[in-house]
Amino acid sequence: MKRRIKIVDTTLRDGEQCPGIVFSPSDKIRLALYLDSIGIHEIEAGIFDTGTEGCNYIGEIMKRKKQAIISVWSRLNAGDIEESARQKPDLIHIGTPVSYSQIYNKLGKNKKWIENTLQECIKVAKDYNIPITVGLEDASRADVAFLTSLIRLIKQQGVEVIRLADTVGVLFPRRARTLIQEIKQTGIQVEVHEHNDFGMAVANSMVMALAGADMVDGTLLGIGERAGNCNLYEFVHGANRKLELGVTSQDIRKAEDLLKSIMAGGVRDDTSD
Amino acid sequence: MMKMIDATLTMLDEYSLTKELVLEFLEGLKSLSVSGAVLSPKVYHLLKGQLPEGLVYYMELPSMAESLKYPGVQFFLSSFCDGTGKSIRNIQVNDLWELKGLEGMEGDKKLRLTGLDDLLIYESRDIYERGMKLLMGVSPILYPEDSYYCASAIAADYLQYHHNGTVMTTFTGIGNKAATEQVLLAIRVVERYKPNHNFDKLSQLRDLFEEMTKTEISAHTPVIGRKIFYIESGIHVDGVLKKPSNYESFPPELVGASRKVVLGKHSGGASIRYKLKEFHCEGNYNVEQLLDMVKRRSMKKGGEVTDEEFLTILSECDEYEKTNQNC
Repeated sequence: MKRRIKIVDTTLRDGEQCPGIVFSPSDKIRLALYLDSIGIHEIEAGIFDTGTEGCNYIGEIMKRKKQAIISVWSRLNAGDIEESARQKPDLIHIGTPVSYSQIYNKLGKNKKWIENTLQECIKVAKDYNIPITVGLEDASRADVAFLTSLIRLIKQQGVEVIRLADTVGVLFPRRARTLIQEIKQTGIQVEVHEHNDFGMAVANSMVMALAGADMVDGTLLGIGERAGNCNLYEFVHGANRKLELGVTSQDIRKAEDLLKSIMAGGVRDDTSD
Repeated sequence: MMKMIDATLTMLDEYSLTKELVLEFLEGLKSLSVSGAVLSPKVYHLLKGQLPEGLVYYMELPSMAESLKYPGVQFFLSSFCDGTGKSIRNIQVNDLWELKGLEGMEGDKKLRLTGLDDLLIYESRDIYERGMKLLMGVSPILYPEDSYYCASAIAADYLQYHHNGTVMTTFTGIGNKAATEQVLLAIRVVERYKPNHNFDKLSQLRDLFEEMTKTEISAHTPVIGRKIFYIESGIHVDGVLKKPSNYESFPPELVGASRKVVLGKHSGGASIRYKLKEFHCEGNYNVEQLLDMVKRRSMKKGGEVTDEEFLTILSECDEYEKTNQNC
């Protein structure tokens, strides 16, 4: 029997971060409901943001979806977590920089600050009784000793799933495989999130899924920052030979057609949500 | 030393090439420190046998008997190896286990292996490691296919395991192969291959390839896409402006590209401040208000807010201020 891997679609969140791509709230609802209908396990629907597109679309997706888990991405900020929680998604994903480059150069903070702030965020989500996943951003360039100690710490707080994000797409298959094996030793469930800077996002996702990852992220048409994310069709096309994915490549193709029609849709005016 | 051979020109027989375009393409490959190029007989005739120096030339030929017709070509790829030292035997491998059959070919080191599309799709690490060891033992020119979208990763992985390995690739992966530019940059960035070498000619090679094939390469194609260094989202712009390596695995200049901050729905205050500085308007506007206007304009049009549109927004703000002052 094939091992089950859960597919996480992040077209509506990371995919939309491709410069120039804009989904209106109604686009998001259409796409999310279609992804739900074809068996995608989790749909990352957006980022906490009341200023731009509002947040009512999350409620609409939650009301009409059949089976998918609907998640909202949030920065490592207790206030943002609280606002995300008020939208009542199934899950909140907390983006947490973990490489020294991102901790020191981007945030201007240190490891202790990351540990403390993350624990504070976890507590806020717990107060609202909303499950979380923790996204270890730039994990592929991070110190593995720090990664594992952080994972052990948050596991004690009840976190069951972490996302290993290859934020700048520098993993090679060999390192990708080893990284999964190292992280799996902590006993946590692992979701992998690959970027395609060297054209290896699909291959790395495949290798990591076969090495023990539990969930794989991707986007329709592989859209995303820079050279994009793991292309879901391409991943499913190869991986379904060895793994049970709960979705077929033909259905992904149909979702891509819907996305293409939305992206070719021209002027929209449903900014008020 | 690891080597790369480019076989793009064997994939272009159906296109209307000119001698000048082909020569320019070969010069481009040389500038990238690619060690060799595979030519088709058609391309060879187009060049009238005048092959630029600095590259090792290969050709696919069904029969070695014809090899004398192609002076300047050092190696011929065919199904047989004739023992002259000029032929490289081509073998299609459809399954990792088939590599075992190559173990006895000690005396016949000149091999090119094609196929191996599913090399990475093995549940067991042991199977993969054994396969890689077998490959390193045989030390072929590896020419992986891309049926499972893994060819570039297979080629790069092989070079990472085998520092004396040779891979064959094509530009953009044309012909269902590993992409020359992806493997080259991956090895450069991760393995520090040719650390002092500049690959800025890649953008010219992309333009040339488009001219040769009359196609347009997607703006987000890894390494050579025209928009891979465009950034919009607030978090990324802020991170890149603080230090580019926060969100870039290599600097745009390395591949002849440049960075651009794009305004849109996902912009943050850092982008607005950056644009105001670019247009020498710092300190004259309320950043939060401008950000709100940019986001709304982007949502309304369903795309990015261009520099011209941003300047229009600034004019509208000026006009509003003037009107209010007059009231």
